[in-house]
Amino acid sequence: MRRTTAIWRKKAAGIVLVVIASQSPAAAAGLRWDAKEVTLPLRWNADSGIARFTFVNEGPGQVKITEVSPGCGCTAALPAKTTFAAGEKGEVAVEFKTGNRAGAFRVPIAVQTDEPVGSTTLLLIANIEEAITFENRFIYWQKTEPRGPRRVRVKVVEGPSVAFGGIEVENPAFSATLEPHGSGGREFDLVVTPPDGDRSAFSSIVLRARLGEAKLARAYTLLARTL
Amino acid sequence: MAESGDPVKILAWILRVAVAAIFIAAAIPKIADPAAFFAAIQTYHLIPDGAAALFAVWLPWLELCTALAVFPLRQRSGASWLLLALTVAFLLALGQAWLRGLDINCGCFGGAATVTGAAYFGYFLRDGLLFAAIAFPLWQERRAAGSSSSRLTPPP
Amino acid sequence: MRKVFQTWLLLAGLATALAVVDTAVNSRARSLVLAGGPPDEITLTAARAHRAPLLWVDARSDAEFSLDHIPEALPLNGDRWDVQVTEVLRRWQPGTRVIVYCSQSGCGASRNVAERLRRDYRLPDVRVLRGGWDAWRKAVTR
Repeated sequence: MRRTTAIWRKKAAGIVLVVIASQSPAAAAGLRWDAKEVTLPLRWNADSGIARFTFVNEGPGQVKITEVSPGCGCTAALPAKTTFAAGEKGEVAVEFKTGNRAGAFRVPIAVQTDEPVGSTTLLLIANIEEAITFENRFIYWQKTEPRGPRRVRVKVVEGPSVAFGGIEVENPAFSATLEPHGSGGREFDLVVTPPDGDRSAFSSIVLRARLGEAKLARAYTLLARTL
Repeated sequence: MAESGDPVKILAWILRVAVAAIFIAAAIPKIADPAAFFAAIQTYHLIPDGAAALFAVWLPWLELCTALAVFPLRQRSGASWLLLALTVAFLLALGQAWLRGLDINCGCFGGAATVTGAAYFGYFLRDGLLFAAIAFPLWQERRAAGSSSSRLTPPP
Repeated sequence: MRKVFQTWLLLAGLATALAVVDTAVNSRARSLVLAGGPPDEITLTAARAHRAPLLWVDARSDAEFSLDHIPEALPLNGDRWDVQVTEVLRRWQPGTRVIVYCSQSGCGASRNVAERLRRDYRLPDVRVLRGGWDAWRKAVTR
């Protein structure tokens, strides 16, 4: 009787392993995604980039992708092939346009399939490199502060050549100059001088630059204000 | 008379282990990322955010402990009843979200799958099956306890 | 039945102890519990109760903003950032609390905008509205 029990328990253990594997979250839906989060590094001069989300249909039957809905900033179309047989691989490609953005952006992408639990949310993390970084994009002088010049450190990323094209100060009451900092040719100080007196004033200060061999034109805006 | 090789008992044991595995698999990602689970709880619009934050940290640990407690004999019955209660509570939460027409984030495995419209049906079905998988071993134990106590009754 | 409830109490106690340890050692759990949500989030009730000036920032698309928005909110999204951030900073004053919102809980746009305002523009008090535009609409229609 004990031997029978032992044999039955071993068989049951095998069945249990199969049950556990089949109950894993990934197997709950037919499509198993290689990665639900994809990080897309983008260089400073990229207009867009494409993130690819690959998957395998591990379900027993055919799965059809019915809808792909990206969050703002992306375009994602239904893949050319939308029906995947059991065991078949596929991918959803999402194009991310950089626009006038920099830094990290998290974009959710909802994918609908024809399965009962047919909704998955993928995540695209776009990291857009800044070619030129400012220590601060907004400087202000409070009423009680002396109206002396302020220096904002400007750094150029390693790699591209840079030629500064000029500084446009919207409000002539402010003035701004660009001075090199150190000897590496990659760091500068944007020196902003506010108007005298105690009146409030506001100005945008646009630093124009041409980057790289292609002399890509870029404009960087700093905002200055006296309160 | 039910013996150790009873297939009903074997099936109950298999289901018990499978259910425990599901709850452990559900608890771990929620423990790892309580903020994601909190965001999922928010979408049900059932409890205030302060309570939801406490719940988001506490509930996954309860799931984990309860799932592990189905193995020791002393705690098996209580743990199984608690798993049943958790499943019923989730079904009720799901039901009220469906009736109110909410777009919820299931939060079942901590992740971010949004549930709308017809997709609710899949979750009802899945948790209905989970309910049955928890209830069956409970029933089997009561049946075994009932038959062994009748064996202990001395003959007149 | 008594044994069942004893087990429940035991499990609840064990889970509570583990949750307390988790909160102590895991910064994510800790910030969630202490703040009742992600630390830079603010509920609509708390926002309205804030005494100092508020500046509402709408991180949704221009189209959504045009349809409806929180009164006196300013739009700020990735599409026309330079133009729109200028307006936000013209309105901003020291001591102002900036609250960024997008459609609902869990949408990333408000978080992206809030992070950028803090990181690039060094605004000291920037929060994200819990529940987003949905929360405002529900409060207004109640």
